[in-house]
Amino acid sequence: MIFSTPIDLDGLARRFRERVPVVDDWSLRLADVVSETLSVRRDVVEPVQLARDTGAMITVSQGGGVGYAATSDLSRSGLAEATERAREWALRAAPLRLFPPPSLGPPGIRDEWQAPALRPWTELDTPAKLQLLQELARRMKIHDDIVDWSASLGFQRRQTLLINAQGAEIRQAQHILVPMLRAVANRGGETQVRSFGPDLGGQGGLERLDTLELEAQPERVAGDALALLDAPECPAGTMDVVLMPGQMTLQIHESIGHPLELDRILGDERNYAGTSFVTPEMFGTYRYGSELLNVTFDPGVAGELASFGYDDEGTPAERQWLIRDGLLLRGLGGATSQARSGLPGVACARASSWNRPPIDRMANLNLEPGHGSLDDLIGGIEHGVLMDTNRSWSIDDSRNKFQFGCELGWRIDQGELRGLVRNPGYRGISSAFWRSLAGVGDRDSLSVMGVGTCGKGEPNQMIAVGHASPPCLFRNVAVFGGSGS
Amino acid sequence: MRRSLEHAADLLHGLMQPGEAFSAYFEGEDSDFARLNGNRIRQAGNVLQRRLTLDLTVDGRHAQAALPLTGDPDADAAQLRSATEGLRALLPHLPTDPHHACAGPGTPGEDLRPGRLPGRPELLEVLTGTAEGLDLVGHCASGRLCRGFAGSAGQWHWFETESFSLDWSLYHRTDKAVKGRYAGRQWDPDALASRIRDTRDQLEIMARKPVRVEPGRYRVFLAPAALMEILSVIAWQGFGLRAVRTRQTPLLHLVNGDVELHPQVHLDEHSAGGQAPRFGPEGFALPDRVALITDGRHAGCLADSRSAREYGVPVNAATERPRSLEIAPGTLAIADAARAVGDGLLIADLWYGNLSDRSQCAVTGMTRYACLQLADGIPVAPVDPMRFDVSLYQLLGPNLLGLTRERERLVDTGTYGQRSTASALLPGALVRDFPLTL
Repeated sequence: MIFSTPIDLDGLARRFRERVPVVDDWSLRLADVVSETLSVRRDVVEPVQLARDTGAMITVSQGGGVGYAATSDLSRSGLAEATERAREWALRAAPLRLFPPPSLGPPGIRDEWQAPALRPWTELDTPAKLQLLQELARRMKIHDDIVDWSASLGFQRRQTLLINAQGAEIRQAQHILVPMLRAVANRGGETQVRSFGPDLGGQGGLERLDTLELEAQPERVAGDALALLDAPECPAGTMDVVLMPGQMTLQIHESIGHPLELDRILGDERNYAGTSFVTPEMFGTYRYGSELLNVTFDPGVAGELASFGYDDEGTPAERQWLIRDGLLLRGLGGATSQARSGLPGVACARASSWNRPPIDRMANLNLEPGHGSLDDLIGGIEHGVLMDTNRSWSIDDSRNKFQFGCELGWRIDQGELRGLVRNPGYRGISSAFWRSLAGVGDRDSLSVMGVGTCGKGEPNQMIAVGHASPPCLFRNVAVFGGSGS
Repeated sequence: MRRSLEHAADLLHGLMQPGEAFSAYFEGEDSDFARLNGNRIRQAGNVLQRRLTLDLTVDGRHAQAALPLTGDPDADAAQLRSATEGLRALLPHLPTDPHHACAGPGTPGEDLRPGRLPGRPELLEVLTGTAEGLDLVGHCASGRLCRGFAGSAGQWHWFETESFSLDWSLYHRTDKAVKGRYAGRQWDPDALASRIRDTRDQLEIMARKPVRVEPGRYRVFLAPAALMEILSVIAWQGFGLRAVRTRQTPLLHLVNGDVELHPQVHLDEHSAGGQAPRFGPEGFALPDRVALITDGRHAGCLADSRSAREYGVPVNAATERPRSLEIAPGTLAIADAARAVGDGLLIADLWYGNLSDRSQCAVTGMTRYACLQLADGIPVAPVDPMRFDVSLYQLLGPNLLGLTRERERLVDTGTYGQRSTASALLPGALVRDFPLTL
């Protein structure tokens, strides 16, 4: 594999230290990300895409201000020039700063963290992986009405090194694998898409393909897409819904994760990603949902997409309860936001890349399992719909009024699944929706999933976050099918 | 920046063996960013990045390797040699690619767009000084953007622009705010100050007691930015040849001729009028204009190099999403827009759009910023955020009452990975029966 030799981040750190800046405080975050994207579409192998992205983020505190400079020029002169740009920005920012400079990372931590990968990506060579994808793709073309079909694998090896003026040295390594199958069925003016994948990315090696039973999916994915062409529209009205983990992921993400971000509550995101209906006084007192709602921040779940040992400010990561028995306890904010707000947070200051500064992000945000099986949840519904796999999402800037759509649904009558329905969607208001949570699946029904494209920040940052959830039952939800309201 | 690509191309020419061909696509920027909250700096800094995507082809087999360039020719040469050797070793194991296309030799392209950028202190002084005492939240980006292409047959394109963009919100309280934007290549501090004062003046009405309107259908004026939010959702897959041929476009009924939009709707990809480079990663020069919708009817698609090869048509786009979208003007004077609404809503911005029903080309999203209730054409109060869910076939079809004769250049201030070069030129739209659902 091209780029298989890791960049010597320690050597780059030594290079930086040779001309360590004479400033009030500094930190250096180095990142080396190697990626490979393999894909087959309509039985044609798409161009193999190999990539390396290496760079440095230098943060300087000087004269009461903080500035940063990111550079792909890792030569001695490149690092020195970037340091000077960061210093200049710190001085410019000082008289206009929003808050006094925080400490640029913890003192003296020296540690390494690495996610396990049992079967390395290179255990199979590129031709063997392409052969696997060709076979998976071929098996999706089950009917003339399947008009587009594709199979892909994305891999990333991320290595970072964070050092600072207080002597911290934190090395972290992650291997991320994202499989994807996608089938498009069309007849006349009706097109339906079914997918298996992008929300199933996670950390680890090729063993994830077995865990996900990827080879068992192609005919099911294409078969679902075909069946949806003939399915009736999802019924409309107020009814109970069961959301499978493939939709819970988005529901948790949009209406719990984003509203709890402390930087939104502090107003940083008001010009872009938005604000939050959550206000500071709600922590410790606000009933976010029914007593069945339990949500944790857990960066230690093996294999979950956003597991790590330290965030990008160097704060040690640990599991925390955000919502317990429905009560809001803690927000999603790193050390800087915690200091600004005086609110409890978590180790979640993360940057999408070496070229962006850390901001408050979700990491692994999980809805803890309850006690019912999926059959129990369905059995408790007289009239409703089960929905799976998000395909459409929209929510207001304070993260309250939402509308989501799913790839497929099943009508539920008298406690039993009665048939496939297409274009299922529902809308609601976060603050009321979670109080209608009436059933949470047990540990056996839990799926560990994630979102690879969470966008936020100015300049913009796209980052991967993990979400684990069982299926959940909600009462009296506004449901609709195609043609909207 | 330019020297980075020139050095890389020179080296790659020397590395090629008989039967091999390369193409190299360069992306670089040297940008300052400043983020503000409460009219004070939250984060500020600089990003310098250079990146090259190398594509090596032998006997119809090809693969790509993207890598950062440092600007140091020796260091970059070692990386490029390693990448070339790696690709060379991989290619014999790959099948031929029937959809691969790369531009042949042609006239070298040079597109230099120098600007007058603000200095760091000046930009911040004007912005925060004019907004002193106001709750300004926003983002500034300023600097140089470069794109380049070089190929083993001597192909060469270079695009370099100096530009800035400022995007801010002035908040009255909670979710009551007004949006402002200022972008271009020729910095004018007076123009920025004037725009900030304009948004400040608009805040006055946001201070009034907001009204909560009921779900229903309203007569509204969509400002260009609001119209853009809806079109940007459609544009995700709406106009690409691949999406059309695989029946995934939300405009399928329009493509099939089952529906038509209002005959005044003319929508083009106008590369010659935009701010994006006029070549793509495979080096194809783009036409000045591609008609997408003419007289309300489907007129064409955007075809990137792979789709063009797959479906046997000429390349006319760098990507299959518009980068320089343009809608022809109408006849309504923007000064008359509120009066033309009468009783209804004036919507300055929409937000977080997404397809709600692909087959009906329906988009849902939220009102944000200045959404005002109009009574007899007079703004009377801000409206609490409302959800809309509208079919483009209705919005720009029978429900379209008019487009403004004035258009606004909307610069994409997106910075995912790097600063965007996309923009759009749009009028505002007067429509009836605009559906609000929640």
